[in-house]
Amino acid sequence: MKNAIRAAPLTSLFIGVALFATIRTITSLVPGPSLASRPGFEEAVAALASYDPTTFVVVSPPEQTEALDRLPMHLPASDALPAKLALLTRWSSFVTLGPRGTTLKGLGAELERRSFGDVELVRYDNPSGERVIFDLARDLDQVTVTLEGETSITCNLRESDGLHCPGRPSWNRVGPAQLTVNGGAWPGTWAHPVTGHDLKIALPELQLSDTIVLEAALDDGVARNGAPVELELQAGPLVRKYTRSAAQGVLAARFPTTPGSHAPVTLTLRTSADGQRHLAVRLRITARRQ
Amino acid sequence: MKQLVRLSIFVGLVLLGVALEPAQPPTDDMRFYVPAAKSYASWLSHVWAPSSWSRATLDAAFAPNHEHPPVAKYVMGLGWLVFHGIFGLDELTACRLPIIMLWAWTCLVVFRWVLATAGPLGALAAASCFVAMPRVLFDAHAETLDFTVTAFVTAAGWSFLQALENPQQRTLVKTAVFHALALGSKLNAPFAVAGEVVYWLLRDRPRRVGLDLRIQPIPAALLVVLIVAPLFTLAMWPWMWFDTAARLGAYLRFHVNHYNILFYFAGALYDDQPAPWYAPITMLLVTTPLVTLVFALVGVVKADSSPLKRFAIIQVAAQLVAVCLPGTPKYGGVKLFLPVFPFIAMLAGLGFAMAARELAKPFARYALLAGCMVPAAIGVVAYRGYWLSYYNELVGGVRGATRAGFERQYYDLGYPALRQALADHVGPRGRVAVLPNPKEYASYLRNWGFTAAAPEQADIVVLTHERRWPDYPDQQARWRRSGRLTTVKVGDVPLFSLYRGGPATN
Repeated sequence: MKNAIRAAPLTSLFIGVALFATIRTITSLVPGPSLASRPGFEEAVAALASYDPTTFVVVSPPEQTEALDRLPMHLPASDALPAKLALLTRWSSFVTLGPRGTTLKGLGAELERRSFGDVELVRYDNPSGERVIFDLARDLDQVTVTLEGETSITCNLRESDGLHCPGRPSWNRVGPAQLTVNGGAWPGTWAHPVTGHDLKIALPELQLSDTIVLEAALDDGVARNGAPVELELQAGPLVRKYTRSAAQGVLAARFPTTPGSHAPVTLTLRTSADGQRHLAVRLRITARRQ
Repeated sequence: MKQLVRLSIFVGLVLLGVALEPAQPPTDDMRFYVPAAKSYASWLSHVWAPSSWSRATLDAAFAPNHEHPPVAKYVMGLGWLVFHGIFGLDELTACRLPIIMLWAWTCLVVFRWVLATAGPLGALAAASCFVAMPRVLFDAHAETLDFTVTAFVTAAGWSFLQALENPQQRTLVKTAVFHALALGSKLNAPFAVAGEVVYWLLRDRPRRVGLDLRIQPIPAALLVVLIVAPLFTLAMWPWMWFDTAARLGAYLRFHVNHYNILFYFAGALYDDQPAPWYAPITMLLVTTPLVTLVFALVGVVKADSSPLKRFAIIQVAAQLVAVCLPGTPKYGGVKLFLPVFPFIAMLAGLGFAMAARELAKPFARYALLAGCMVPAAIGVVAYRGYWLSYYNELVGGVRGATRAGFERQYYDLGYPALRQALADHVGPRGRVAVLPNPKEYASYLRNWGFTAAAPEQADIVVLTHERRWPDYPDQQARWRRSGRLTTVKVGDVPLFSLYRGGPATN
């Protein structure tokens, strides 16, 4: 054998590589052992039943669709972790269900690792430390926008840059935007108020937690050019009014709410002069880590 | 006689190409390129009428997909005229047949080019490696621009080397024509030209005279490439005949400011920011059959120095450097640097021919080649219909690649298996929603006799398992609750699942 390799090293290399590649190709195509058939899977699933629905479950490895079907239906579960931090913050914690040694990258330190036969549950905290139940930028597809004046318009034209109001100019939209505020980039949700109208952004009824956080800013270039913008935030019977004065900077407000209460939330924007009111807002419903 | 043999091999390769995949899924580029191909071909078919040359007619004919040059659409359009117009094939198949023909022709070019340097065994190894590249096979069957530019870049390179060595009228004309066709196909072609300039500078090195560096006289072949070919390209692109500066500027701006396309690479999602510079090289290394990579590496390191070897290395480097540059868009598997693959196959052929010298008996050499091609051939057959999901043995196929955080599919393909799964679960004109990216599937659903609907109103929700869409995990979490009906897999990895549609149950 050694002599053959010495006599024909490249040929031997090719034969070795071809053998390796053939075996590897065939084994990669043969279905592997399913997660659901591993000892301890049923016990792990039973243990998951006690987790609350703010916990996101990820099955691992990712091709285990059948295992996913067997998980408790009250839990959000997928074969993948949300790939953006803004989407991760929707959940209070993450649990991965997989064979022994399973880890989820990008979530920091494990909080808990529980073993059930060949299967493990590993829990991680929300990496931002704060759960964002609702984020206007992230959850724009869940809101209803209306422009109320002499007539009421439902702004339901969905374009790549947000929700547009039929019959209105293209600036009359609610959607992603990046303003320049205090000299820096300020990403938010464009919500240009309209003279003589209320621009209403209604959120779906949600279970509230500690706080609603509202921020509003005018673009530096036009911040001083017109009238202030009034913002009215309503959560159920509670109403708070804020004013974004015609000046540079960010209006930041925290609206305390009762954890666990359900209420419709509406943000209304109005101004006495809409010229060049390049306004963007950030609206988030957040819950501190328990 | 030689011509007859070549023609027979060409026909055989075309038949092989058709037999390998008679039912390739349509891509989301179909709705751009097929109408453009039809429009350009319709104009071609009336080219003798004087009114065809008015600005209004030309602008109307060439407005569709004017952001890309026309040659690939001429190629597809000729297929549409002949195979649809005369033989009655469906429009998509008719547009794809000339692409398959270009693939067969490129196989022959690869064979003949290597034949001159490394003999029949090296040529056969190169052609075999090229035929057994699953990712390339996908593009060789797709109604897109990528294989056309690959074919013409390969032919242009061959003609350039011939014209450089033997600058006769025939070789120079071939050089001009193939370069014009390559430049008129897609933006990869200028990178190949840059590689040719580098090749010439290394071949005819500038001389130092005192403090000056004097370049050698520019050869006729290079002048043809740099001056004549672009003029030919312009002549083939009527959209550029009017408002030339403005339209050329718009063309360049479109590509310089190309919109971002989501790319999931090594476990991270890239949208606003391009993927890291090494992403194209990584994709090349994990999607080219391992044996071909090893052959090519031996070709680079061990094969005798030859113009072909030097030229192929430079061409691979030129295409890869262009897509690795910071800020260059990186997405879509290997499609953005597809022209490297014929050159990798040629290097593989050189490498195999070098190694096979160790074996005395010709039979043993051919048997070695046949044995070494087995894993790649398995890959071609096992991933048939799903070649875009092919990953090589280094990562453990599509299953290993998915676990390692690579895309298991892209291009919003209208798989025949999806059509069949829908037919099994919903009646004609049934309401179907496709998530996470419904936009590209509406035309497929219409063509298949289903009705695109919002998920809440749909009978069936289809989820494509694509992690590049940020809301994929949330969509899966939501729809798994309504009940999974079936999942179609390749290599044990789910590509798409069908769920019951209707109002959310969470």
